[in-house]
Amino acid sequence: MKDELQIAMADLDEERTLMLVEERVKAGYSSGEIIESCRRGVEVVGEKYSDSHYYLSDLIMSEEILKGVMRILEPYIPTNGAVKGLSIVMGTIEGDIHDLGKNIIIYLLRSSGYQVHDLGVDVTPERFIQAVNETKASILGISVLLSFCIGSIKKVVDLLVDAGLRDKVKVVVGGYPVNQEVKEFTGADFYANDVTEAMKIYREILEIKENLV
Amino acid sequence: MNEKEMLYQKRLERYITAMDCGKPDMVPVAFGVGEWITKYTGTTLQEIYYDLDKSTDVVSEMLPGLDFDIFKGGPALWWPPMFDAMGSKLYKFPGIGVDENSTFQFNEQEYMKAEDYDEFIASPTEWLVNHYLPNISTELENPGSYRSTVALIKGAAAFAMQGGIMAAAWGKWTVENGIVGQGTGFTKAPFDTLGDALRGMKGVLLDLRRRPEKVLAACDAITPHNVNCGLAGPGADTRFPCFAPLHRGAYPFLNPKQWDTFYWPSLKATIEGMWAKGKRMLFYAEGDWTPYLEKILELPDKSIVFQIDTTDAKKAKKILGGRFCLQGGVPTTLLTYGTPEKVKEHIKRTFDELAYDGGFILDTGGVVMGDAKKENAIAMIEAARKYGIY
Repeated sequence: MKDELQIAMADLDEERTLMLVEERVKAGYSSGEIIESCRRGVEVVGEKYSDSHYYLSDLIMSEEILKGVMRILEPYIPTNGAVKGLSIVMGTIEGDIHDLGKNIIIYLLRSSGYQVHDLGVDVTPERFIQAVNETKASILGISVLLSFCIGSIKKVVDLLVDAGLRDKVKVVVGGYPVNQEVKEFTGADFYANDVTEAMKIYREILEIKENLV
Repeated sequence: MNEKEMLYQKRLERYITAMDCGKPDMVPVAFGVGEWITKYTGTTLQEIYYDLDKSTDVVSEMLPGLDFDIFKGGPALWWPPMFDAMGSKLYKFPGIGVDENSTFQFNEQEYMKAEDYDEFIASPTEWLVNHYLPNISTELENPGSYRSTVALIKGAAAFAMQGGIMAAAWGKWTVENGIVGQGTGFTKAPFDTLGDALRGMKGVLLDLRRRPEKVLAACDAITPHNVNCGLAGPGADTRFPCFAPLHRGAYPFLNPKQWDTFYWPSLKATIEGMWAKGKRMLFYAEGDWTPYLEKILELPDKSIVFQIDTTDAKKAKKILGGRFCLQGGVPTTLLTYGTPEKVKEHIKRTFDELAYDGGFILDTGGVVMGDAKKENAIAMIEAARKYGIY
């Protein structure tokens, strides 16, 4: 790993990362090249998280640094950025306003080039169905922290069946209270309690779907 | 001594023996009447939150006939009228901001900005009065104004009213049922005071890299206040532990170096400060604390009761057992998705693994939410009595 920007990003050195980005913009690098260096840095951050070298505070820091990078690059980014074909809908279920886990997953997926439609928090089952319908998403990710909101996730899955969309989308539930029992109760396809598990699931689904496309 | 008083004495002894890591006549059982009760009483959660008489009545009706030792309280954690009197922005309560049957939610914001650190560190209470209260309450926006003064009086009056009503209710529950209240007093880890209430989670986590020295200085400034908060609230009582819900110390919020540097020293100082006055902490370790069990051994023997939520229970027993009382053993999800049979099997196994040599209190791991089933909660108490005799 010799790319200084990638290293600074992976080391979560905010000052140095932003300085290098400014330098590269001046030196005539394209926004795509700069983003690619940062993305590789973020990839290292993700690996370090999986290996327990980095923790949540470090992931949040990396997200913050990347936001700073994007602020610098915004004027230079072509409007039609290339993204991978598959799209994902995510949101926190109705009655719940916790979004830490959801935001981290969205950030990691987007930095891997996937298109994620973030519905925000306190999302009604009807809104989830509408979004899946509109975006033709391959994956629906539902985040939950408060266990009593889990009933609404079941409603989302039931509505997907009613709308004839159940076979078209994989449902992943994520959050502190989910487990095998919750997966079975809601009718979801997968569950994850942490970022590493969730990313593994998303990658596997996306790889399978990409091969089918 | 009447029958209930004798029962109280027996249960008190059971509780205190367990907290001192001893082996009582049977495993003490902690029980609370959570928000789930509203499903069985024909009331909305909003009514339970706003109408203290209603919330204490449902508890009074539930308690007789239940055989447990330690009472954790009724379904309403807050009394919203106190917050409403000050135009508080801190919470959404059932029926106001969220559905009438949805639980309360904390509205986390950076109520303290990064540039406020120095003024806060210099004089925390002064900063809270002059800046924090105006930031969190619409009615207190102009300190010293007529409107702000009236709102403060109304808020203080509501606090006192709630205190009076709840004290009377706890007195009644104790006398009529012979149950022992779980704790006296409340405090937090200084890092959580800073993170939860002042800077917000994201704010404080970014501060760890952007202004680490300020975070440390702020935690040091908060520590004596949190020691005092744990001691002064309950007055002279040192029989019962002080409740301390712990948040950002759970895995995996902070990396190990951050945990050692920023979270632990001021929490340890808070515990030691209280323990010097004979006051124990109910170390309510929400989430998973498995990686930090060895560090917790640095605390004086018996100075905490360690709450097992999603911490690896067997490891907690192996590492902390004998030094500190452990409390927990029943996952909250089991009360929602389990059946009475599953609950009973689980408790039998839990006793075999965690309770065999004493120093253990049976409790739910974390806060039981509105989706729990009453029959599972009852099954937990019954199984505890069936299998819990030493």
